[in-house]
Amino acid sequence: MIAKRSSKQSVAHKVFVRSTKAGNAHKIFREQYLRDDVSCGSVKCGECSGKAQPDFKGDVVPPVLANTDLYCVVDTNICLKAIDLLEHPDCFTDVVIPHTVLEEVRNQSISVYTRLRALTSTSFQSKKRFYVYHNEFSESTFSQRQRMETVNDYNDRLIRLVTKYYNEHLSNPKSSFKAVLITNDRLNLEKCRSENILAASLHDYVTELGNAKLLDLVAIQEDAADLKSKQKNETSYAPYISTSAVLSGLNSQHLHQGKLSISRYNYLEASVSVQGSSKPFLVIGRDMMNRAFDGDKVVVELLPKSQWRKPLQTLTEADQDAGAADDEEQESSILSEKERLVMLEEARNAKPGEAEPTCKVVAVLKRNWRFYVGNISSEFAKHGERDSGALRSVLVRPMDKRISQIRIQTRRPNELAGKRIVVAVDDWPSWSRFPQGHFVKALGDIEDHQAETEAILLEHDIEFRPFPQAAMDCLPAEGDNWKPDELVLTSGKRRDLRDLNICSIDPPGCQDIDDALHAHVLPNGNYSLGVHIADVSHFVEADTPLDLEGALRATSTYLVDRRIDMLPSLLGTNLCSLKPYVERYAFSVIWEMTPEGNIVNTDFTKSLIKSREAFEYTEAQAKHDDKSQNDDLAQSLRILMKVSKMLKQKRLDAGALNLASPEVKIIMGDEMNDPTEVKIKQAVDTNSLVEEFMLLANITVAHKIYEHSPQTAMLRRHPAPPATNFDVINDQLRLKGFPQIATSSSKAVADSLDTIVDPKDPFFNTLIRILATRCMTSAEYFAAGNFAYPEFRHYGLATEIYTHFTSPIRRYADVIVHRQLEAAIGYKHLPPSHFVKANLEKIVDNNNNRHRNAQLAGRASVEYFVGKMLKSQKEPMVLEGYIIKVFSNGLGILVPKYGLESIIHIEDISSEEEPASFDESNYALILANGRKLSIFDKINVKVESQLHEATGKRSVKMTLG
Amino acid sequence: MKLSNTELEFLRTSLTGTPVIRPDSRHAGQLRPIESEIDILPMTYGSARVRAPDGSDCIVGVKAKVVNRHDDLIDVSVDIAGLKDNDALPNSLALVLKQVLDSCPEITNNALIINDKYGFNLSVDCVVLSYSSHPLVILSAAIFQALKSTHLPKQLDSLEMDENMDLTKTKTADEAEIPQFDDDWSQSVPLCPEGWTPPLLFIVSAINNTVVIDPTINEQLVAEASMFFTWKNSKVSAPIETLNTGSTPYLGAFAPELLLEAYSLVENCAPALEQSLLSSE
Amino acid sequence: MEEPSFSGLFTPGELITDDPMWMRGHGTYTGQDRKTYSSVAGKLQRVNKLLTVKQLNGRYDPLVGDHIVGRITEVGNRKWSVELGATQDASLQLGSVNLPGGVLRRKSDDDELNMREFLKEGDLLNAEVQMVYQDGGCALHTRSLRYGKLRNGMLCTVPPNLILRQVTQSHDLEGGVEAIIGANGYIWLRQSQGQKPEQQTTRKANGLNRLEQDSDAALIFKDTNDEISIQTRQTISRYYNCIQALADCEMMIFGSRLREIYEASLVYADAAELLKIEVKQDLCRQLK
Repeated sequence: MIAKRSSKQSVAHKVFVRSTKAGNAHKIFREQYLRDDVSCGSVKCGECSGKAQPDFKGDVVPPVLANTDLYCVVDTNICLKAIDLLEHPDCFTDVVIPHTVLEEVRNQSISVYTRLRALTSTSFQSKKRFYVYHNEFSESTFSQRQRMETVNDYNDRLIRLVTKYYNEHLSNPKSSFKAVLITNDRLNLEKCRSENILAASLHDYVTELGNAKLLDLVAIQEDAADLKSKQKNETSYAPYISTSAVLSGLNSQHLHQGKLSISRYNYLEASVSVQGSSKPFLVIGRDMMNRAFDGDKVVVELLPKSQWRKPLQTLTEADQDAGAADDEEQESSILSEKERLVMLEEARNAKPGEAEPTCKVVAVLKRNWRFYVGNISSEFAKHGERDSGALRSVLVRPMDKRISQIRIQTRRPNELAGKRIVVAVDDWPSWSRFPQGHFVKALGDIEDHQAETEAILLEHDIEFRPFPQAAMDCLPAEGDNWKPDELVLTSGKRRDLRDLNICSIDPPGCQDIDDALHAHVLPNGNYSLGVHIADVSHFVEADTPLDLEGALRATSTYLVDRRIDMLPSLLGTNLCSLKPYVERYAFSVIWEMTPEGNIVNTDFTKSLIKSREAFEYTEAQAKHDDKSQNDDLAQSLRILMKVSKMLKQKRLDAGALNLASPEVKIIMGDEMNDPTEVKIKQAVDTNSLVEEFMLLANITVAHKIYEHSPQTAMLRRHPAPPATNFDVINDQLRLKGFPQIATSSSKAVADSLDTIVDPKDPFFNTLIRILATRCMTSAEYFAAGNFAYPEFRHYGLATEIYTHFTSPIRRYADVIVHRQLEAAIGYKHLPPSHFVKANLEKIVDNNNNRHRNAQLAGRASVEYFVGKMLKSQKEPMVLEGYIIKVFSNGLGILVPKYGLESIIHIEDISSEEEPASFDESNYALILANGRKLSIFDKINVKVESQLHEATGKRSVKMTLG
Repeated sequence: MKLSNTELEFLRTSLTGTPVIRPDSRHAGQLRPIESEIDILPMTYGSARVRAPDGSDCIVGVKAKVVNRHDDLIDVSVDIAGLKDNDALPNSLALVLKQVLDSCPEITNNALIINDKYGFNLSVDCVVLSYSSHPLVILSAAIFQALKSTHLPKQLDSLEMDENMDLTKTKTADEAEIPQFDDDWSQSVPLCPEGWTPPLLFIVSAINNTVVIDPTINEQLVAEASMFFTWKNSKVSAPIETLNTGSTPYLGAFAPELLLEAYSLVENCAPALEQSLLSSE
Repeated sequence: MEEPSFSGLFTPGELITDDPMWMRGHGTYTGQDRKTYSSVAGKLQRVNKLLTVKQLNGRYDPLVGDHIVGRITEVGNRKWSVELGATQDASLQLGSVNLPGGVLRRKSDDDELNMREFLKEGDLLNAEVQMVYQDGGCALHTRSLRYGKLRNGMLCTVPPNLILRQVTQSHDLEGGVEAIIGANGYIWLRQSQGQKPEQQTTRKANGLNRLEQDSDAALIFKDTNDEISIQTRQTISRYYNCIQALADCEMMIFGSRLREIYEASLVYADAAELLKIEVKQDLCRQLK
């Protein structure tokens, strides 16, 4: 309803200039229609609820803000910087978010915007009452931008108007109600004072609440000038160049943009993958990295050729660097002495022929800041001592070795010492040695199991909070009592396969059974083989809250003692899981195959099955081998085994790679917390059986969905590694007198790998396979329309097209593939959102990231448990290890027994009096006593768990045994 | 449009006699009153509408975009209601108007230049809604008004970041910065430099020994020839060209001795027109 | 059943009445639901049971008996096409014209070949609408000495709905000027002729002298102007401006009003003043 033209205007104009990236400027003219019925959203107000208009569903949105005496109006910077406080249950209960602020937040940070929006949704209504007030559309709070008023001033004025409006609108002589503007902007606070509008800084607001713990969360916005004056040194980082210089530089190819990846071995070295250049550019040294974080999108400038470097051959870990200081004292210049020495050494030894393009960071386009888990460096806080209560600056050392220390301010450093804490980064000005951040929360004591697990999950960005109610509401109401509906069979779209001799083969203790198999002989002598996959897409409908949550998580994460589910366990372990003896929905792929192994027919169908048995790998193997067993299932297993062997042979002939990875299995002790043993996983033939059929199913489905949706089919590819990736390992093999890895094709790789054998050491071949895996590129999901057909190739599996179909319970990509297959067979239409390529690309990116993170988290969990097991040992263990990498100041060791990988530092095997020398070209370190430690050598190492005093970090220490 | 012999004779005799009697009683050097409005198109950078008493009506809108400074910086397009786009009249009008604007270095070499590499390209779009007499006059008045009220986005200085920037480093043309603009429209700068006015065009017809300014369509039909004159920087200047008014029974050349008279006619009424156009803002 | 409103305006597509009793005339149409709608923008008029909507502005709609001023556009097969500002050009049959040699002259074959000598493309004439065809076209005739080719003056055009149809459309105005107000909005302003042509012809009864006949004919189809004084020319220009003033202020145009506005305009010695919009409005305000 638009107000009638009265003395107040009902149509306003907004005129402004929008600049585009190309440098163009457009005059934008917008009409703004003002309404007189924008509700204030408060239960206190009778007037507004009378005017409320129903939404498109016909419902009237009830008022949100409660009948309390204090409403907070927040401005943009508060939202951006203090979102954690806004979410905190102990403060900010009734909050008005002006529309202006919401829009500004959206333009600056999507993640904060999402969190802010979440706060305004109904699920929080009881505790957090956040209301978005559309101030720019309401006659009462709209105002034209004045001449010479900057955008920021204008927005600030609008926000002040909102505060004023709320005070006037809801004030009551009987009550002590007030609406207060919370802002840290000095100018704004002053203006409020002069205009008689109630305002407070964040600090003042939190102080008034009287909660000491909350105060710590308040990021201190000290005046930049004050802090700067405390810095007495002149050296600082180079300031970032202006936006216009960036734009013109990128356009003229003077500058390049790409994502920064900091090396895990050496935090002083990073690479930037730039479009158009196959080789990534190197960034060496902290000032060249210029305050960029790992994962940031940066703009770089190539250095002159004379300054190009080789990748560093030294190990440098941030925690080894003792050159930290707090800003109360004189700060050393940015590069610590140690760092400078390393760089100089490198520069001296650099051979000109091997230098790679090196660059420096001149601007950061997008920050990849997230929450970081770390702990306060021990120089700053002593656990057990009392805190003075005064605000102190401390440095927090993140768990992730690639991240620089972060400076935060806290009143209780001693209380937090020895705990794993979560911090967020706010800013890194050019004059500051360290980035500035603020405390978010404490997870628990270091080494506390709970804290460590949470730390691993946080560090790898894994969503582990319980499923939101909205998602749980999407599950069937009957819950555990849900039964398949026989009526669905009558429509003909779902086939009744309950009479098939289906069984599943899984690891012991597996409850989420994704897949089941069957095989029997047809009258014409051919085999009927089938793979049946849990029908997850039946329960998870597109674009429901459950679907969105699953899409966000993208994969289940397997830690040693915990599994973070992608979908609620009601589905994963019950309704979708193909449990034996019960009827379950499935999505089946059925082949008719000749005894020689040629597929003559393929059928895809939704089905109702009843699995006869759920075998463990060893059980199935036993049943297969036992000649006395000749029932359906045994025969089925034998057919499956025979066929799987044929399939495997075919794949190997085509060049499939059989690479090994040191997977270990942790055997938990009696108590949940201390593992007693760590074993390497043993593989039996039945593993391979299941694997072969899963591969076949995936390939078959890939063909089908690609045929049906050539633009949007969700597939998986594995690009061939460039031959240069193998250069180092081949050089090492050559020096040791072994044959090289041929790189012309995956078959060549596979065949040549078979020849690299050490007759004296059966494990050697496995070792080389493990190392060869690291030369590979990683596989990734992609939308079919984004690549040409030849690029669909999965190098490692030697197949021209591939996808993930067989694990929809634990992988979201499979759920998408299920939906695409449903559409391909005409069972159900694709939901509209799946037609949009941009949506799928977002899903693909998220899947790739989450997949990688889940793997890293799993490995981190294993490392942690192995470390714990080592800790429980009274004596250091002496184990066999192989040298897999040689640095100028250390050795990389792999211990196959526990799949353990760590470093022997040079300090532990040599000293100043007896130095070791680095023979780079032969990949060896030569000790003073003449002992040569070279690549691939099998040596004895002493392994023990070590607690680092300064950082409180527990790590594995290795020395020569 | 064809007139009868008697009409033509009547007009001609009236116009060639002494005193000169024009159908609407104006004297030879008098312009028709016109009505103008500016800022009628809020989406444009500048706009104007001009109406003549005989019902002729036209609207001009001006827009700008950033281009390479060595490209063509002025584009004029004319659309006449009822005529096709490839008709001669609108195209020739556009050419003439562009020629006139191109000859103003105050705009093309000054106001439209941003830096070494970039400049503004001005699009002057004209729509003639209806016309009885030659639309050149109202178009030129509308363009005058539109340009005078045109504003361009204000360019932001590039040196807004840290003070530690190395100012001694000179920039090559390649590195010339992509311009950034102030998003506040109220800060926009006028296109026309202070004190400078855009050119105006006047049509003068020669009928036997008489010259009349701002002829109606009928007067043009009894003239030997019609020419248009440009008024720029307070004097008559190029381009000065003959107008093609189709074939008339009296078709001839514009007698040279009449040129001087035409000049003085223009000189007499141009300043007044300029004044009144400027004061109507 | 709605009684149609006779005050106020109707817009195209607006419902007039849903009563089927009314007869529908110009400017109306029947919709799918058999109700009566207006097809033009204008005022509703009623004659007994006939409903018409008179358009506010639009092309000239010829009616039988209208005295109009038109321009020859084509010379064709035994007829001329005359442009009136209507939807179609009117036709003037060769047989409907008074040719030289008297009213009763018989038409011969030569006439056709020499049509252009009488009326050619571009010529203006006044005529009367003889009949109106169903498709809106009409036929003209000039069977009277007051009709014929026009000279000694200039044409002024106004929208046709500002013309009030009067018994005489030819007006003698002050200053030695005559105005012929065509119902189609074309107004011819000329030097007034001393004697009416009718009087001339009545003097010449039967047995006409051939020379005299020729001089009459010559008069009707003469292609040149007479001597016209400067004064008259100026007065004609003044009347032209007055008529334009009336048209711009949307006032009805008829003889007495023309005289009135001329009188009022004499206040302005320079007739060019009448081009200004304020002056126009001022003059029209003074009229009754």
